[in-house]
Amino acid sequence: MKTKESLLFGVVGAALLVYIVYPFVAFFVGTRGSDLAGGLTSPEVRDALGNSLVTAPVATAVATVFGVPLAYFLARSDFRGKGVVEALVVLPLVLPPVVGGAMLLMGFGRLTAVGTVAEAVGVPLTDSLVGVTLAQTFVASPFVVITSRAGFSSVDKSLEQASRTMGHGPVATFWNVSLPSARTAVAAGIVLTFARAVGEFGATMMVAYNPRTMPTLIWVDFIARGVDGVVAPSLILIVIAMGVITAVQKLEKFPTLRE
Amino acid sequence: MLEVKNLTKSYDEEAAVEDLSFRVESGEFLTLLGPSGCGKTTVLKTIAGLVKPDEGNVLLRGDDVTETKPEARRVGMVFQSSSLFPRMTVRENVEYALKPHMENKNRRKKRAEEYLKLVRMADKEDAVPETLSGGEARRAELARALSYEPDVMLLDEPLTGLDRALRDELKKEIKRIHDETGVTTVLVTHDQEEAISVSDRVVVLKDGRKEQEGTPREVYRHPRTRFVAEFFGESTRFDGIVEENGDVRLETDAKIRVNGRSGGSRGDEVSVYVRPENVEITNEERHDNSFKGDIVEVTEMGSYGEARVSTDEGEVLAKIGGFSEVSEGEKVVVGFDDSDAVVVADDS
Repeated sequence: MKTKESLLFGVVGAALLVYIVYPFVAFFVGTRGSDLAGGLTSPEVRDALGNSLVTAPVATAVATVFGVPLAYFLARSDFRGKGVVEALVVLPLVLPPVVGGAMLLMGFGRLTAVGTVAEAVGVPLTDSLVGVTLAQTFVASPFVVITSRAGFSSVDKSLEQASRTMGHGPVATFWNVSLPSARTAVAAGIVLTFARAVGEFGATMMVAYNPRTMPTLIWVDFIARGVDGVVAPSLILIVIAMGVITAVQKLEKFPTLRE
Repeated sequence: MLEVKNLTKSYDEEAAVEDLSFRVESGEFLTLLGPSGCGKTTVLKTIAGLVKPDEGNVLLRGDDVTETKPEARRVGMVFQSSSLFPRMTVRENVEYALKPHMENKNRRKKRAEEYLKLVRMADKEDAVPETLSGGEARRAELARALSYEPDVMLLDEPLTGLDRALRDELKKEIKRIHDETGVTTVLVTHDQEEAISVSDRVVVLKDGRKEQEGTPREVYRHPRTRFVAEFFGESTRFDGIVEENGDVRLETDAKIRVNGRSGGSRGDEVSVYVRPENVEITNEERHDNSFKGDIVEVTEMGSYGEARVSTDEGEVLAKIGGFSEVSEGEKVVVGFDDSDAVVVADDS
């Protein structure tokens, strides 16, 4: 479709675009006067950023290590009850994060069997970095599974079959053929999972209100000092988000309409 | 070398292959021929170990490999759709195929170059698959599947999707490569010309069952069922009843003399098939079977042509010389000898 012919759609869509851009503009205009330098260098922000940058990559790694094989399995196998498994995979994505957090507390909380044992061996599962990671993994893992699964599904099966007839086993075939062929989708899934983990608030707040991550810090600062208090940490998260989008676009998996 | 025994496979209760058996001798070129959806690809994938049969066995070199994984079978396969690994160059594709069979990296490189030369792709070894033409991709895949010197080579419709000139060229190449390497080959195709020109032997399949097996010449000259007669090359069909002396009486009461080799006994309903190249257009009755008629259509193919002649006994197809003197509307006699009339029983 030529640009001229699609103009009508563009005009309608522009309304949404304006709505998305407006808060950004308002945010940057409204924050001009605030003490940005002081905010960025405060020990609270430094600690929260450190916690976020430790937990989110770990959560992403865990989701990837287990989620990519799950995605491949779902893309390549057919079994009874597959629909149920697929629903389970998506569930954390559609479930309100706070509810997910509540469920995690019931499963891993201080008073549960698992929680008690873990605490006894010195790895508390709530109000700890481990707790943060648990919450992030639960909420963010669907991204890597869903995206990778779509990637694997679009890999021509005959590539894998060819590899097998040549004498390569299923694992070698996965590493050498399936994964490289689906790598942009898998990478996009990993990046999106990371983005979701960094921004995770609802479930984290339930499972590990302390130690603070960036989103929980923003909440605490907002309660104490109002919207002016959240400028610095918000700005950091915006920068991280921009980085994520750039990364995903580089991977050519993000819809940029480049036909 | 390869034996398929009583192979049966169904998908969702629908039979793809039913009780199919055939053998391929060492060095032989066998073609599985049939219309699309007749189970040919399923047979090939079962031989490769990519599909598990419901019943039956696959034997390679005399060993039962029915339960053997594909990576342990030593078969080479060229797939219907291009299956070159997109992120590897042509040579890397071949080297990857050699990896499980050859430890030494330099030897792998040398072997890859050797086989790319065989398929005349030496100058494209550093190309990535997406830059190759359809024919080049096929050649690269052939080299890749041949490089580790498999016991059996499986080709799944390798010429489908290529234009005619390229198809003819590659057909000759496949034949040449087979002659040079001597690799036992099973080709799957729906194209009878392809089957005739490359194979030592043909197995004609219909709905997953074997209709007939033989050399291309046998199957073409002596089709045993209606399906084979009609699928494997063009012909004219006459329906009739077998007389006492073996001749076939048509509904019009005309008789077709069939050299006493009638496929049925007296009173049987049969079909008589005559190939167009065995039908001659003349102006007098000089054959065992001759019918008067009018030419209704002439189709020129260049080096030859085809004429459809309308007779009282039905329409007869005759092969004629290229741009010959016959013209539409002309009154002629079509004739063929009793030895060229093939009788097929009606219940087949």
